[in-house]
Amino acid sequence: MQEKIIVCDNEKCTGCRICEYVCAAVHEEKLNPRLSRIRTVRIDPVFDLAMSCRKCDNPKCLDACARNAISQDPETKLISIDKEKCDGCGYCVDQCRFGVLSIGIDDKVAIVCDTCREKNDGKPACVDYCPKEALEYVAISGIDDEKVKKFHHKVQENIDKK
Amino acid sequence: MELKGYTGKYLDIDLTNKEVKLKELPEDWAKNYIGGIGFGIKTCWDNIPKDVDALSPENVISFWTGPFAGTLVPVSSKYTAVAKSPLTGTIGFGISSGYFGAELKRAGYDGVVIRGKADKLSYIFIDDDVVQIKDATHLTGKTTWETEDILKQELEDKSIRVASIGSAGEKLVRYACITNAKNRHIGRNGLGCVMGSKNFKALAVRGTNEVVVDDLKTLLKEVKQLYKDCRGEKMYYGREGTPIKILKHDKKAVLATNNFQKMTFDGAENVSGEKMMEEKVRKIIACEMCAVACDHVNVIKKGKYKGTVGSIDFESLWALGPLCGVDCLDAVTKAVQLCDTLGTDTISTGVTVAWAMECYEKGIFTKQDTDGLELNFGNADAMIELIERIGNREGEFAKMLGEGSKLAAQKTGKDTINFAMQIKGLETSAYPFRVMQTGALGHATCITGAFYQRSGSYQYDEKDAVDRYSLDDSRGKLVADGEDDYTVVDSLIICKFSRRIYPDKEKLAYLWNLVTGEKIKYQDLLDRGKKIYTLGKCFNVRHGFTRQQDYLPKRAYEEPINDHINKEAVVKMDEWDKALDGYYEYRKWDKKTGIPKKETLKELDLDDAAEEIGV
Repeated sequence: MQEKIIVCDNEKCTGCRICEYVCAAVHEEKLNPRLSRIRTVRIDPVFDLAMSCRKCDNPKCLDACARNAISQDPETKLISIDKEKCDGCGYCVDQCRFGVLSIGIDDKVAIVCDTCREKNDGKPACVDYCPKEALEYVAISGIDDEKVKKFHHKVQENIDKK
Repeated sequence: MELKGYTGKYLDIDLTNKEVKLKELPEDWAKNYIGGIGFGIKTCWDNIPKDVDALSPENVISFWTGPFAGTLVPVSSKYTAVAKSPLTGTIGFGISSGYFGAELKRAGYDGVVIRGKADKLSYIFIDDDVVQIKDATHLTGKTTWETEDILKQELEDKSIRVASIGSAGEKLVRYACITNAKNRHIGRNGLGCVMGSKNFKALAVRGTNEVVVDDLKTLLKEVKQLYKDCRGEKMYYGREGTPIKILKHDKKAVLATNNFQKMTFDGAENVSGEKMMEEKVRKIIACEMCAVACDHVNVIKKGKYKGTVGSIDFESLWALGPLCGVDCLDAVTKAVQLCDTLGTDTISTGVTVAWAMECYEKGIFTKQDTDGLELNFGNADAMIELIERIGNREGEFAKMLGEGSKLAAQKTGKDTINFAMQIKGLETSAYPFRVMQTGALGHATCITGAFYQRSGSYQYDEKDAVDRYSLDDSRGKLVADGEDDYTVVDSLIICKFSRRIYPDKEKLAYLWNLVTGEKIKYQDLLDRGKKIYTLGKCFNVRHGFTRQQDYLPKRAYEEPINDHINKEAVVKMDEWDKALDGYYEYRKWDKKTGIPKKETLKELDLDDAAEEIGV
């Protein structure tokens, strides 16, 4: 099975943080972007991106956990945190190459994207609410498809111009 | 605090004694003054007595959010700064967006009140419940952008939000602004100058707490459609943006050019929004919790100004473009970047420079007077050099201009005050008086000076919903209703760009219900808006303002505009007087003095204000 991930088009992303608010509201029923499973970042002046778990093969976060609190579903590749075992040491946060894990500000255990598996009718809320359609929930192979399509559009445009 | 959405707390900081007090928000404030400018005006009313100089330690500057900041309500991460304005002597405020307002709320405060004066340049760091007044002498002369970067580095967290002043604020340019998120500003009324007068360089905030609303589940459902509406057909702000007004206004012959001497601009095509979008805008970005995204960021890729970055809207583009006769987008971007980094208001800067240019062309200033600048309209290099000198207060000429167009004209004499395009000392925005007369009335009655964002009355002219070349006593209602409406918006605080997504205003009241838990109608909010605006007016009355100051610069009454569209366009004094009468009558204020009547104040439950202003 081809797993899906949440991807962000940095040209469409405006840095509005709505994804963070909605994520926290859906998962924690709280309004606090620091409880979000997706992170936005702006690099001045205009580079914006939102990112959540990439569902890596051989994830570093899993290896980093000394308490075996982190596991990965072999089929969906989703990372889960065992809240009982996690002591909030933050080593997984440190080891994640994408900076998409964090330690929740409230109960001090690691939090990570679950693609809203059991919330928001199973659709990732961030994708659902993104006002600029910058976020998409797609199969990894689909990302390549899009790029190929964009390339072909470009070629077509050039031909049309001539 | 009974109502949700608020934290119910604010900080009261005295910079003289280095004293930080945590105070409870009075229970009745939310139900009387909403938040935002409402809380700010109330704070000024309670704390700034008659005769307090705006630049003295006795002036009080307060920063406020409203109940919507930090919630899911679209376009709500806003904050305001309110104080007595050093530019006008009236109540002064500005509103900014970015990421600051929501962060302050999450730190646990609805606002911060700042009094006194620090003994050396200082900044305040609010880290949730830990509040420190810290030395900022190492930030002396740093630009707003540098200050933000340095503080984030120094405090070791890039997620910290910073509102700061540049050298213009430190050196008391009267129209200095407060900048956050680099491109967002509390621009008008010189609030940055007030910060400078207190040796107060920056306010840095980190907030990690949740914001509590009454009904999160329903709110989450409601906002989904609103976010979509933010991208609807009419929401051009997020696409071509307000700069498209340049060509629209030029076509309509309402594009104020060369300090309002002409209403069309030969170089309009060169500084059009369309051209800017095509050639200069690198990306359109958003503020926190904004689904509109209107921030058109120009990045100049080649030429003399290579590397310049500037976020440009219609007002800035107009003030530093057509108004100064400048038809080069690169130069305008550079000018905006200088204003943003040195920390001056783009509108006041442009209008003041344009006044100086007219003086120069009329021979009132020589090259010697201008410290060597050839200040002809259209001389972009001279404009840019002058803006830099104003921001740094270099040389006698730039120093004088840093006082604002009114004081500079008074000092210069020779009737130059007649074409200093300001009311009450605040340089006017882009809607020219003679050809947009309902707009003119709104600019004149505005409690902060000549500004379009306090009533939006220019829209009647823009849409030709009224005869924009004449006035009568019916226009006062349009202006006053707009003022009350905008006061609600500025108190909640939400962005004015979101107004089109609430064609039914009851929707806003419904959002208020979901956030605060109080079930009310929009009319209830409007009543509060009227009370806030009237209290702001009383503040001005306390500080010596009457009907006499609600007049336009003489140019508007005495120099008719003639071109292919405008025929002998001028504001007629008798019509103006009637229009003012109509406004005061509708407001139930005294026609002769322009001062609210005792019974009017009593009706609004403002008895103490009546007593204080002696009616």
